[in-house]
Amino acid sequence: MNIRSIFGFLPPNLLYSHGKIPVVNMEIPGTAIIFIDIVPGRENIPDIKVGDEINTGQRILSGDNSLLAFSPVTGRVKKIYEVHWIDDRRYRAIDIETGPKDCIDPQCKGHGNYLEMEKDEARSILEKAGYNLTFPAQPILNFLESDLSVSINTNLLIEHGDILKDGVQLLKKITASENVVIAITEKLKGEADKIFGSDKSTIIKVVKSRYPNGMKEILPGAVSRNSDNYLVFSPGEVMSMISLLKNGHPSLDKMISLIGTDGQPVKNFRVRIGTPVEDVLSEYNLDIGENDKLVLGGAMRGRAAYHTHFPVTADTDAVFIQRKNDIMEPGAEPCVGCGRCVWICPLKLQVNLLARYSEFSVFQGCRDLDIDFCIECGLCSYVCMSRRPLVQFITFAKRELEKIKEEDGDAV
Amino acid sequence: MGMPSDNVKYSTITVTPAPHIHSGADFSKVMYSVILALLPAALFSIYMYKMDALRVMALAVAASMAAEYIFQRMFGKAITINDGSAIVSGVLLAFILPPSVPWWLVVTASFVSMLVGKHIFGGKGYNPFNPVLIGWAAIRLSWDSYINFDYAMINYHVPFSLEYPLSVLKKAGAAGVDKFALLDLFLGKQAGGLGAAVIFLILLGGLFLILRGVISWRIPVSFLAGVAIMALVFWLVDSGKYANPLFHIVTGNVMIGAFFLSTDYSSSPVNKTAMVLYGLGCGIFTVLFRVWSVYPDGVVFAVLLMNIMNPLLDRIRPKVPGKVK
Repeated sequence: MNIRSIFGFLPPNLLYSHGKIPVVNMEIPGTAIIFIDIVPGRENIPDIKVGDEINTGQRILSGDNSLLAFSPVTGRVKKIYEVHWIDDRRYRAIDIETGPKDCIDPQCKGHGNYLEMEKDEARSILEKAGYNLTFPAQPILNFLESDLSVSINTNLLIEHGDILKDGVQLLKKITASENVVIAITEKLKGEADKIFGSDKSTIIKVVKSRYPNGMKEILPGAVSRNSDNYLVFSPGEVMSMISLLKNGHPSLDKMISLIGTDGQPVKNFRVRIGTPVEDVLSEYNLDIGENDKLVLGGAMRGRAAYHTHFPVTADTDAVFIQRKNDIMEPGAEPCVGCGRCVWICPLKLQVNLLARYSEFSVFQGCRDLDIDFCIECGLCSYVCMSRRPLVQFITFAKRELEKIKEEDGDAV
Repeated sequence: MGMPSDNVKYSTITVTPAPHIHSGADFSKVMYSVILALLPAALFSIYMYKMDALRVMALAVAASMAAEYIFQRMFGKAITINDGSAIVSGVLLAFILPPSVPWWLVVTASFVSMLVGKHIFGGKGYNPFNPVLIGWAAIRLSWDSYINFDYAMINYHVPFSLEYPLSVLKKAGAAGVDKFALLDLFLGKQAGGLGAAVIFLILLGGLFLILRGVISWRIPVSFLAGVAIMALVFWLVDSGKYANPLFHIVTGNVMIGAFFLSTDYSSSPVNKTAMVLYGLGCGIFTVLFRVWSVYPDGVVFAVLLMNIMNPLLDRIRPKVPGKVK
């Protein structure tokens, strides 16, 4: 993953993982957890109470303004509680004790032949589900991974080539575009040619397998010089969109990579969404020890959970345990001004200044230096020789600026 | 805080923000690479000037470390004398001093560089100037006769002329320096700073740092280019009076200035265009000082001058891609 010159400190070359990883299909868990975002002004209070019976695919939020949240399992609601995670994120968590049967909710109505659907109908269903579909746009189907050490897209490409081929047609329809760009790494190009090569409306573009090229915000620039109006979709997203149109509920299963202590994916799991991470870990006989770190997501952008009863959600791509000896000691050292963060920043931000402004609460200075453009890829923290928590400084300043904006808004 | 099901086994686990991995880059590793890069020149000068070279270098390193410790204690900062930066400062200071410099001057320079150059501004990372240059400039202006290479080096027996080439240039013009072969100068056979005069080993150390990624090539290359361009201008005007560009590059502190003194992290720019302009400025002012000031060598003053301009230069920033304005 990390190809560094034997000689020392040359710019790191962080490469994505490749290859087909063995997949373990996991049973439906005994308890499933649903996390629903709580955002200001949108409390998202579920329609269900403790003790209610619930079906697979049943909507648990109503109201036009609410998110589309589904139950991934059939069972009884055991507990409803609130979870505060890092970065000020709050979730309404619902524990569901699964029953012996897996019944699809009768309200889930799909269009078996979704490719025949009217464009506007399909778009409105998808937009209600939270997909951002600006129009018109050039769609990109992105086979680069979301993060380092994640390796799920190769598996999806090889196992679900047919569905993804239909997905290309769907993307064309909903964006009213004549073609779809397939962004893929050199090693997978052959595979992509086999599947999409016959379709004249696909443009296969080889992208360097280097982090953070796979990020939604970076990929359009890596694919083309003129990077306006691109919409990036991951294969998992496309498959979920298809399921939503076809079956009336999003994908129920999710593929995740289990990352070993060496930072490489060791095994993929296909799990029901809502499966607690503890189930995945015990399936692989992995114990979490005192002061170890449990990360949901990849090494650069994943979030550390504070216990194992967190679910695999639709955007969880990986799980790994970092042993306590491998955890980087965060530093409070001053910036020495070496400039590495500035050189590596894919958005050419003045990271050194942003972090200093944030450190000394000069948030307006952060805004003047385009802090909003930061995509939090983590490369600056990765290369910092003083081990400053640069990304954290930036996210902190962003949140403070948000608060200032809200207060100003109230005053007016 | 949400408490999930009761059957969950609780243990203390660590939560930190992303990213969860690190490149391993480390400030003190970088500093020790710089020391490694300076080592060949240090050995060469010990071979030339024997115990005197060792004495100055050891004294400068010890005094810098002691000063760092004392000032960090005084200002209530964490003690970081092991991170190598004080050692680097000490070695670099010794490298631009003559071997005969008295002990008290080395100590004074070390303390001045650590206090006025570094800790008064907040310590590591906050210094607007390269601390070494502040210490050197202070004693150069105050006790000229002790570190003036014209007087300082007469008592040594070395297999080359102990006339300071730049002083000769100042007094006798380009015709006077014809007796110095450029190759000899390049090979370190010249009077000058302890390590700074060993041009080829300093160059080697500098290339090592670039290959290792410790410093960017932009500042050294543009520094040397600045010296060459400015010297060429003078040389084309009057080649009898002004020395040729190569002579300027292989004498005095130009090489150590380009690779080690001007590349101090916190007093040099971080943006790429700014680095090039900074380097060019250092080089151009070096030659201007050499030609028009009373001092034979102008590297230190040129770098100090460009240090002041660093925040201004660093305002030349790349455009954020995708920003509409």
